[in-house]
Amino acid sequence: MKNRWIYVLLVVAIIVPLARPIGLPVNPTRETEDLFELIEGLPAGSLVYLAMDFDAGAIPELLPQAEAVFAHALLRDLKVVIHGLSDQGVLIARDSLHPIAWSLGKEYGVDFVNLGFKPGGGIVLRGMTADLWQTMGGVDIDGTRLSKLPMMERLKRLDRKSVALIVDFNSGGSAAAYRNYVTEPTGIPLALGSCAVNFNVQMPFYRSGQYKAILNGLRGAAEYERLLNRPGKATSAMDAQSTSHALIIVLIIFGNVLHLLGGRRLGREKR
Amino acid sequence: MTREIPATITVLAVLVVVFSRYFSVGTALDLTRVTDHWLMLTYAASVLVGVLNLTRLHLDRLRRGKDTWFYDLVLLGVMYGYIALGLVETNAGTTFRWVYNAVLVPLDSTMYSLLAFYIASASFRAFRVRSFEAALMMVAAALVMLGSVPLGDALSPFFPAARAWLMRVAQTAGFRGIQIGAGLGGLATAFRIFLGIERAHLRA
Repeated sequence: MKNRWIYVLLVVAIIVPLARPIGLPVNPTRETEDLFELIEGLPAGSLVYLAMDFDAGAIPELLPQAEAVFAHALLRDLKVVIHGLSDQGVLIARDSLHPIAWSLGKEYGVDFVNLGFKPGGGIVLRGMTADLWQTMGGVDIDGTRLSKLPMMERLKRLDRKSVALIVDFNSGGSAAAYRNYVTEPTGIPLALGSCAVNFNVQMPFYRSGQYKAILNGLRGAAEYERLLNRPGKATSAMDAQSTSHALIIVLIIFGNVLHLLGGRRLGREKR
Repeated sequence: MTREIPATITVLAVLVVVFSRYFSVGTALDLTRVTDHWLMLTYAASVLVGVLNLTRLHLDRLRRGKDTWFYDLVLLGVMYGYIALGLVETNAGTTFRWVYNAVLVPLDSTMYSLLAFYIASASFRAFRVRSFEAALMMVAAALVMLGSVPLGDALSPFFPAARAWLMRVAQTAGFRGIQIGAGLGGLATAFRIFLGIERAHLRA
């Protein structure tokens, strides 16, 4: 079977359900429910730290997760600080998360702050556990002085007293940096928003209790949207994921049937 | 000297970090903060080194009249154009954000999305029942794929349950072994570099 036919079938399997959704229900898994319950259990006014550690390539999977968690935190009257070890992640947040906050009537500097990006990975995080203001150069993503943002008065450093929860949306190795430099030394609970391809890598840390929860790719976002009762991009894309996975399984079966038939024919020819 | 100086810097850097983290005098001197600042500055400076290196490489190719001259020109033009735009407008500028959202985001997403097509094609060709192990892997992959989507939930509660067990127990056990092995390997390599046994990074 030529590649182009496989590609055509896959395009059809993705586009048709996007255009005409089937509406299959998404049942939340334990890993997603853990994050939802964690945020539900935080007292109003607690500070949640969202790490936007992904680039544009991971937007389809991780942005719906971040949007759902951000909306949930604000609906619960929690304060949110956004930061990124990826230069693109904080820009994505400014264009996608800030409008959600404004639509909920929240105010920048009072209910949420975007700290922006600093190069250095784990070293930046370690600096933030000692002195967040100095590490970030005393300014937010737009160069506004942190002293002018009332919410930042209570966040001088990353410690258990100031931060109730860290949620790291990451497509790479930033979760290890948070574990090693922030959450293990300070005891701040860490949850993860992971790309589906990295989910298996992160699972051992969830099982050991080092992550309190993990969202698994687009499905994790759809599960969270269902728990929040706010269907969004992820929910509408899940049908396409169902049909594309089903197609791949059918292709695997088809490939094996061809393989077996080819093997038998070869055996007959040898005889 | 091209080997000795970097090797000496490596050893000194290790000693400073060990001294600052594990000895009370080092902790009192707050050396960690100093070395952390150095590292952050080094990261930032490495971007400049990268830009200069790319410029040199593509200017050289342009000078030699290679048939890729058009792409070299596009790369240099886009790189310096976007840097200039960022310097003039800052990252909050309308045009800067438009270029990012209208060009980089779709390009980056497209590159990532193409993986779906390669995976579909590869799974059709690679997942063949040639042995017991291959059959086991194929069945596990099919269960995880079906258990990860709502279609699996709708077909039978067996699929999400099987996927959950495979992810939480079977693969976690295997992956822990790999991660512990990789961790020990990393530690051994760090010792080898510190002791000067491993010198591949110095081209020695």
